[in-house]
Amino acid sequence: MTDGFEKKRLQDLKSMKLLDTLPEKEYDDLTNLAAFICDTPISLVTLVTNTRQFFKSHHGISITETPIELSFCAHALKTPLDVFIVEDARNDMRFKDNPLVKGEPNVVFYAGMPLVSSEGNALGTLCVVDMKPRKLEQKQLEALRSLANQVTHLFELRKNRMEIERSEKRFKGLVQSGSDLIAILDFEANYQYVSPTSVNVLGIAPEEFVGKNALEFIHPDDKEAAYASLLRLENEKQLTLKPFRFKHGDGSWRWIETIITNLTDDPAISGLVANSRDITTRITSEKAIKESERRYSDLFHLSPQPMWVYDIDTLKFLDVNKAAIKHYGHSYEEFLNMTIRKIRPETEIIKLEANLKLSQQKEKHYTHGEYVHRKKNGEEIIVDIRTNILSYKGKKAKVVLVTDITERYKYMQAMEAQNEKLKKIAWTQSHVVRAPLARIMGLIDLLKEDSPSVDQKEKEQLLEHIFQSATEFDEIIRNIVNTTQHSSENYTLGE
Amino acid sequence: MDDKVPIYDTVFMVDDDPIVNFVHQKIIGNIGIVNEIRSFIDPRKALAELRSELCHAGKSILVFLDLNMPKMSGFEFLEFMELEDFSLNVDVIVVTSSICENDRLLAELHPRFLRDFVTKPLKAEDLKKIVAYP
Repeated sequence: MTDGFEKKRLQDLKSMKLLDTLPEKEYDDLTNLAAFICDTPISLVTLVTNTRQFFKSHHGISITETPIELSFCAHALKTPLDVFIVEDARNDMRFKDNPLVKGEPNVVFYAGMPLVSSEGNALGTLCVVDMKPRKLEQKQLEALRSLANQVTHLFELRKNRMEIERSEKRFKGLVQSGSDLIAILDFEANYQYVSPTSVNVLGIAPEEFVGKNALEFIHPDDKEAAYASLLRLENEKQLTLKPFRFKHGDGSWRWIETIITNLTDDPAISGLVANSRDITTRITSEKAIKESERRYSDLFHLSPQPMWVYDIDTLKFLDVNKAAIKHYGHSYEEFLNMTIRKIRPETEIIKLEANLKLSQQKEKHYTHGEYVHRKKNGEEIIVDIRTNILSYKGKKAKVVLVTDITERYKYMQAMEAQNEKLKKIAWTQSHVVRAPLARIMGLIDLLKEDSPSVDQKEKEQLLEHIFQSATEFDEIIRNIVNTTQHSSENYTLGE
Repeated sequence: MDDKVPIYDTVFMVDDDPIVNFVHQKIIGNIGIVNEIRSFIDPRKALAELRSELCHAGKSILVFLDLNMPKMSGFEFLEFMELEDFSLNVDVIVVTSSICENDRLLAELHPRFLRDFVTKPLKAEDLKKIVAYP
C-alpha cells in the first residue's frame, strides 16, 4: 500500500466517525450471527487505523481495542477482496509470538473478511476467532462474506444519515439566520409557517403570524395587487411580486420584495413558499435618484441658455435643450444626427481639433472659453462655452452651457473703437490745444523777466502775440466742443 | 552764470510756430551759450541745413525740436537723423506742448540724439540745467 492510498483510507475511516463510538445493536447483531454461523466464541467488527484497531462490536471478548502490532486484521486488509484465514496461529511464523496467541485470549484460529467502503477502502474486518485449530466450510465463508457486506451497508447508511443531518442543519441555519424571510402560505394567504428571521426582518415573532392572513399586514394601497398576483400562482410555478409595503412590528411601513414559489404539489411543503426581503433602503434611494434626475433634467431642458450633451468619443450630440434648438435653428432630430463640428465654421475646425486633443490628454473636467459657432442659417456667433464631463446613459459625455456673447462682443468692439477715438482726441488736445496756451505762458515769461534784450517796441509786439494766441486758443476750444458733440452723436447713430 | 556752461556752435530752432521760435531765441540769447541761432518753421528745411552743416567736422549743434508740425513731425525728424546716421555732435531737445507720457516714451527711442524732453513753455532756468550737465 502506498502512502497516498493509506492516507485516503484513513480519511475515509475518519469521515465515518465510528472510532471510539459506543456499541450499537445493528453491529452486535451481525457479530452475534457471525459467531453462531462459524461456531466460534469470538466475533468482531474491527476498524484499523495506522496505530491501533478499534472494535466497533466485540462478541465474546471484553477488550475494545489493541495496538496495531498485535492485529490480525491489519494482515487481512492487504487482500481486500478475500477472506484472510489463519488456521493455527501457533504454527504460523507471523503470529506464533503474538501476545494474543501466547497469552489471553490464546487466539489459535482467525478468519477475517475485509470491510470495503463505497470509496473502495478496506476500513477493517468482520472476523471470527477461536481458541482451537479450525477450518471453515464453504457455506460458512460465504455467510461471513455476506455478513461483512451487511456491515459495510451499515457504514453507508451511517454516512448518508450524517450527510442528511448536515444539509438539514445547513438549511435550518439559512432559514433561521438569513436576512430573508421565508413563509409558507395557503392559497388564501394564511400563514402556515414563518421562519424565525421574521424578528430581524419585520420585528414580529414567527408565532404571532400563525393563524393570520398575510394581506392583513399589507398596506391598503398595495393589497389588491398582491392578492391578484397570488391568484396567478394557480397557473404559474413561481413569480416575483411587485414591491409592496408591509407593516413592521414598530408600526412603520417597510417595502418588501417577495418571490413566491408554488410548492403545493410537494408533500413536504404543500403550500406557497414566500421568500421576502426588506428593500426599503433601495426603494427610497431609487426615488431620491429619480427625483434628482427629474430636477436636473428640468434644469437642462428649461434653461434659457442653450445647453447640450455630446459624446466625447464620437462628438455626436446626445441631447439638446429647447433654447439650443431655438438659438441655432436645427431641430432636435437634426441635432442628434450631427457632430459638434457642424456648428463650427470651417475656419474654427483646426482650433476645435487641437482643443479636443488637448482635453483628451489632460482629462480636465471643467473648461471655459470663447469660440465662434455657426447657426443653421450660416450666421456666425461668438459664444462663451462652459463644459463639464459627465456620464450620460453609460457614455462618457460632456455637458455644454452656451452664452451668446456676440452682442456683448460687438459692444466691446465699439467701446474699444470709441476709446481709440478718445485717445486721439486727447493727443490732439495735448498738442493743438496746449500749443497756444504754452506760447502765451512763454511770452508772459519773457515779459516778466524784464530783460535788457526786450525793449518797449518788442514788449508791445509780445502783448500783440499774447492776444493773438489767446484768440487762437478760444477758437480751438470752440472747435473741440463742436467736434465732440458731433462725434458722440455719430456714436449714438452708429449703435 | 555757471562756469561749466558748454558752448554750442549753432542752435537750430525747429517749430512751425514763429512766435515760439521768437520766444526761444530770446531765452537762448539771454543765457548766451551759442554763437549762432537759426530758426526754421519747416522741419524739412532744417533737416537739409543740418545735413550740410555736418560736413564741417567738429561742429557742435543743439536742436530745439517741436513734435507736432504739419510737414514733418518731430519723430520723423529724429528717424531721419537715425537713418542717415548723423554725427553724435548733434544734441536734440524736444520742446513740445504735449503732456502725453507716450510722446516722451517715443522720443526716448532715440537716445543717441535726445538730450532732453521739455514741455512748453521752455524756461530759462530749465535750459540752464539741461545744458549744464552733458
